[in-house]
Amino acid sequence: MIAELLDTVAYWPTLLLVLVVFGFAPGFCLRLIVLAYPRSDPRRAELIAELYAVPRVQRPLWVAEQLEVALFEGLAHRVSAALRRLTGRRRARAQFRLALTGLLLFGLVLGLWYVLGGLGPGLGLVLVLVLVLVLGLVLGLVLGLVVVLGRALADRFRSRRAATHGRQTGRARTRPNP
Amino acid sequence: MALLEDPTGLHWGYELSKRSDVRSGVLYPMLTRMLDEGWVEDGWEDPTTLREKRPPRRYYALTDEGRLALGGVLQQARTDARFAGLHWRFA
Repeated sequence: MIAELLDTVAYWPTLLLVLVVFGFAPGFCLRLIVLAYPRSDPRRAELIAELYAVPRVQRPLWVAEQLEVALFEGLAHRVSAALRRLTGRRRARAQFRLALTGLLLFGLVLGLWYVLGGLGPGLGLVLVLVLVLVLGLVLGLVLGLVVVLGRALADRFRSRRAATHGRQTGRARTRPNP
Repeated sequence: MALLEDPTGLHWGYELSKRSDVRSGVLYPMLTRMLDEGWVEDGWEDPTTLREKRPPRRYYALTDEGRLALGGVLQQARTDARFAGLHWRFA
C-alpha cells in the first residue's frame, strides 16, 4: 500500500500535475480572472497580492472562488457598462445578473435531470456538467442581452409616448384661461 | 466583529475572511460597500518595508465613523436573540 503510494507520488506525471495545480495554475488563472474587473479597479492588484497570503494547498479553491466573484461583479459590471453605452439603460446590470442567475439555475436543473437519468447514461457526467455550464453561461449572456435590449426598446417607446403626451399637455397648459 | 477585534489596526482581505469565517466572495463586496459608506479606508503596504518577495497588499482600517457605526450595529446584535449563539471576542 505504502509502496504503491510512494510510486504514485514519485511518478513524474503526478509530480508535474501537482506542480501545475498548486504552483503554476492558481497564479496564472487568477491573473486571467482579474481581467474581468475594470482596469482602474484596485481589486485587480489586491487579489494578486492576496494570493501569496493564501496557503499553497488552499490556493486552487480560493482562485475558483474568485472566479465566481469576478463573473458576477467584474464581468457583470463590464457587460452592463457596455450595454448601458449601447442602450442608455441604468438598470442593465441588475437585469444581466438576473438573467445570468436564471440561466445558471437552468443549467443546474439540466444537470440534476442528467443525474436522475433523464438525459441518458451515454454521456460522461463531467462532460455533461461542463456542457451545461458553458451552455448556461452562453444562453445567459444571450438572454440577458435580449432582455436588456427588449426593455430598452420598450422604455424608448414609452418615453416617446410620454414626450408626445407631455407636448399635448403643454399645449393644453399654455392655452389662455377663459 | 473581526474588524472590531482590532479597531485601530490594519486588516487584510484574506486574513479578515479567515477570522470572520466569511467566504471571500461575500467579504470583498461587503468591504467595497463599507468603503463607499466611509466606514473603512484602504491603502497599500509600503513595498520598501516588505520582507517577503511578494507584491504589496491592500489593507483596510476602520474610520472613526466606521467604529461608531459598527459598534452600534454590534450593540444591537447583542440584544438580538438571533445572534445569541455568537461568541463576542472583542471589548
